[in-house]
Amino acid sequence: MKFVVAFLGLLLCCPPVQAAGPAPQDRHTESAPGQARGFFQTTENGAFRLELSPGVGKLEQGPNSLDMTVRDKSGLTVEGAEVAITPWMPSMGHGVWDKPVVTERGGGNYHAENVKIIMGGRWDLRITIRKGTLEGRAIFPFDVTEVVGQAPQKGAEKQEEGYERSVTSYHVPNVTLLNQDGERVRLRSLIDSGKPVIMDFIFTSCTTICPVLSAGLANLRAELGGKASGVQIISITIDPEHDRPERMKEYGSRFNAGEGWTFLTGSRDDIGRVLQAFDAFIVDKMSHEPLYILRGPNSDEWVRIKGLLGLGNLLNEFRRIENR
Amino acid sequence: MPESVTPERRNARNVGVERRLRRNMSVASGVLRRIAPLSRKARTEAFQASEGVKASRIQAVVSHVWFLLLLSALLASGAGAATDADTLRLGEAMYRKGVLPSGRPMRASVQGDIQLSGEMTACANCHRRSGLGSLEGTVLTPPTNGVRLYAPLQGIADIPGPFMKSTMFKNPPRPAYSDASLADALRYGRDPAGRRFGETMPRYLLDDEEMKIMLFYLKHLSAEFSPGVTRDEIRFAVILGEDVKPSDRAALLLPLEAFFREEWNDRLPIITRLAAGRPYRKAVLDVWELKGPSATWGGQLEARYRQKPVFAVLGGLAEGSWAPVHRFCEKNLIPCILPLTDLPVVSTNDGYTLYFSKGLYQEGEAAAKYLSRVFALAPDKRVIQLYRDNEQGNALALGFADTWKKLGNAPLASRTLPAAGKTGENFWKGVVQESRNAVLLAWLGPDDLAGIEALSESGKRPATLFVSATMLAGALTSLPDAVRDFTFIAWPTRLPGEEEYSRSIVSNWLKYKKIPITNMTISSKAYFLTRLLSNVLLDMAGDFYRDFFLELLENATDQANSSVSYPNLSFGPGQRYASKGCYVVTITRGQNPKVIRQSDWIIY
Repeated sequence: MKFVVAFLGLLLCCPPVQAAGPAPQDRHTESAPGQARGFFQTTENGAFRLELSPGVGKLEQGPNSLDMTVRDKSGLTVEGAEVAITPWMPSMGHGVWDKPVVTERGGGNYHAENVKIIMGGRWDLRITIRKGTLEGRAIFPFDVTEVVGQAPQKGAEKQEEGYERSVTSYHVPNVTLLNQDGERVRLRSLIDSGKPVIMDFIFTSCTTICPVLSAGLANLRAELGGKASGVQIISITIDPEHDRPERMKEYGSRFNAGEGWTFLTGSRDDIGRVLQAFDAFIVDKMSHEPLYILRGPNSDEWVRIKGLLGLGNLLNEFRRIENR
Repeated sequence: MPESVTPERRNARNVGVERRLRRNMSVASGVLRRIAPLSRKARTEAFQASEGVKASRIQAVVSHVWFLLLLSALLASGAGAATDADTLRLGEAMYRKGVLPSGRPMRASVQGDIQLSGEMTACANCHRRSGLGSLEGTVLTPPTNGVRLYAPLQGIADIPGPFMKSTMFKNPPRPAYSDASLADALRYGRDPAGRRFGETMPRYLLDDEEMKIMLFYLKHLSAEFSPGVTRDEIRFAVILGEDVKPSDRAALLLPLEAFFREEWNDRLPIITRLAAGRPYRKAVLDVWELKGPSATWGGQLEARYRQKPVFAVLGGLAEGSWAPVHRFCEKNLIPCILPLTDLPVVSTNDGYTLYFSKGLYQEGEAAAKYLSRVFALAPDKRVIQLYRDNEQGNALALGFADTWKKLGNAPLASRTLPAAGKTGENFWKGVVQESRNAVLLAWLGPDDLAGIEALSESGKRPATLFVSATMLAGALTSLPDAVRDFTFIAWPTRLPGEEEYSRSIVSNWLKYKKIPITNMTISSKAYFLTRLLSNVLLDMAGDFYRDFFLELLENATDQANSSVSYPNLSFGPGQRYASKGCYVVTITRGQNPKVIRQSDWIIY
């Protein structure tokens, strides 16, 4: 999805740009594609000197991280400063919505994450340093190489080949989520309930993948008959703002969910932690991929299955972990 | 997700429908037989296009289908004009809801051996209402509207939607379908070249009559462009009420106009070249001004629409409820995208209007959730709503009452004031008597709150007071110090200071476009709309169908930081309110109160 946005952005913003934009102030003559045009800058008022660490002096299309050191006039490192970074495309007159997150690393070092660049071309990193009443601004210009037409093919092939199975271990985060009845549930307690566990990630307004995932699990439960309640199925939403408990309940009822099938939602942060922990984090819900995560009642090993399963395969996979 | 129909209702409805259908099917199949040879001609035409299907070719096919529609309407008119319409309705129930003409759930299997029935089998789930297909994760759903099914798929240029989606299509070319091969595809999952579909495409159990209806429906699905599109233009409108201040009007209109002029129309030649000849069109933005009382708006809008139909309505500002515009858009199936209103229509059904939020209703909702889920009030606590009987007051009170009831709480007391009037000190002294130790929800503006310090009299005060940030309209100091200790505010936007980053992005853009900042909140919403549009118009390319346009909007990525007003805006199939949260805050004492967050953005 990110790719789509970037590519489309590119389309909208191409050629007339150079002609239309105000002439950029270019104080740095040396320039290599993808490289910062200078790693040192002094803020316009001379209050701070900034150094980008050379190893990360390159910006690429997509999310970047970078480190910098902040010094004062006399060259001493500055701690406790407020550092704000704004990626800006001067020729286009626009920035990006994603706000870079800056954390202080001590010794005048600052680390920035989530510096997102959405298309190729000339970008400025506008940096503001604030310490007490002193404030200074500096601009680091970059040339970012355009990346077009890669990636998406891979996933499609996998789907045709069937599914990917791997055995792995996960550290279940200590989060409390809400079930379909609005009750608070500790994820760890639910997972350690002594039953075999099958987990998947869904969202209730999902049109393609989730209904197939959920229908598969419903079919599995029907196949298990009376034993279905002895299996703990956990469906966790990846759209927590929209999927409140009442929606999750309604979604579950479409699949005859009953005892043993829990639908969980929670704060964006908590859901994010769960997704990270199970290596299921995605940029956006529309780039959702089908995933089943299974574990036997006494096992430390998790089985991770990527791809959509038919009932036969799902049943096989379940039998393999059921008594482990 | 499609709304569910109860079995009783379904059966009752279908006894008549089935009888009608039997009568109509013979006529319908006659029409189908006549359509078949003609559509082959359309197919041949499309075949001749050497690389991709060019716009003119698509139009040729479209005009054929249009002609067929006319023809079939003529043919049917002899036997009663309702015939085709009935068949289409039955097909639509199968396609959108997975309900067979008999009223029974449609059945299918997926991934080989997973049984589906009813709603889960609805074609619209993946192929969407428009039939133009979708993309989720790695699952690509190709288009199923007749225009594309009955023409060969020659390559990625025939896959509608985002470029990424087209490049994922791996199996071209595909010969055109015939009725027989399409039936085969639906039942056995193979295309006319004999290739098997992926397992994610269900295989359908349809008898011959059901299949006929389905094919008839598919043939007519997204067969002609939506209104508002001509050979070289696509027309939009922005709706403005006459009471809107000139500065607010400019704050909305100038960014939209700048976008269409400088970022779309001026760049069209380049965009088209880069997009390998996708048939983009010049965009026109009309301004529709509403005059007089809102009861007359519907008529005014209909007249404007008849004069020059638009493809979609964008943004919009008007005093009072948006309901008259909402109803006009729903009736004419016109997408109405992100009007700036605190008084939207709050409904759970999918519709054509996409709002920023539920507005004042959402504040009432948040207060109810906070009091019942976070605060956990004693069950016997009295809760009193105090509001004026006007649109604002009623929206807040309804949002609270609906949610309060849904959460299983005891009944509420309401005290309604006349739509307009004065409160004053004596009024508030009266309220003290009623609200002692209760929870008082005072959904009132600053003028009405004058004198509210009477509530703080010791020993008599309400336990908790709740007010609305939108009603306060920034006048936080209209809450006297004496009541702040027990007052919560429903706060449906970002907290002060949190919006700085987004504000810098928007103001830089406005500066670049030489647009003066007359109302930052409004301009930032307009700017957000332009960013969405730039993506959606590119993805829509030459497929000018309103349902598809809405589907592309629904697929927009979640937007954190993209608005000065909201921490997060998210979209999804069927979702119609982009901002889902509302804080509950308190404020400190003094002339410059600090806002202290008391709840998460989302209160579950």
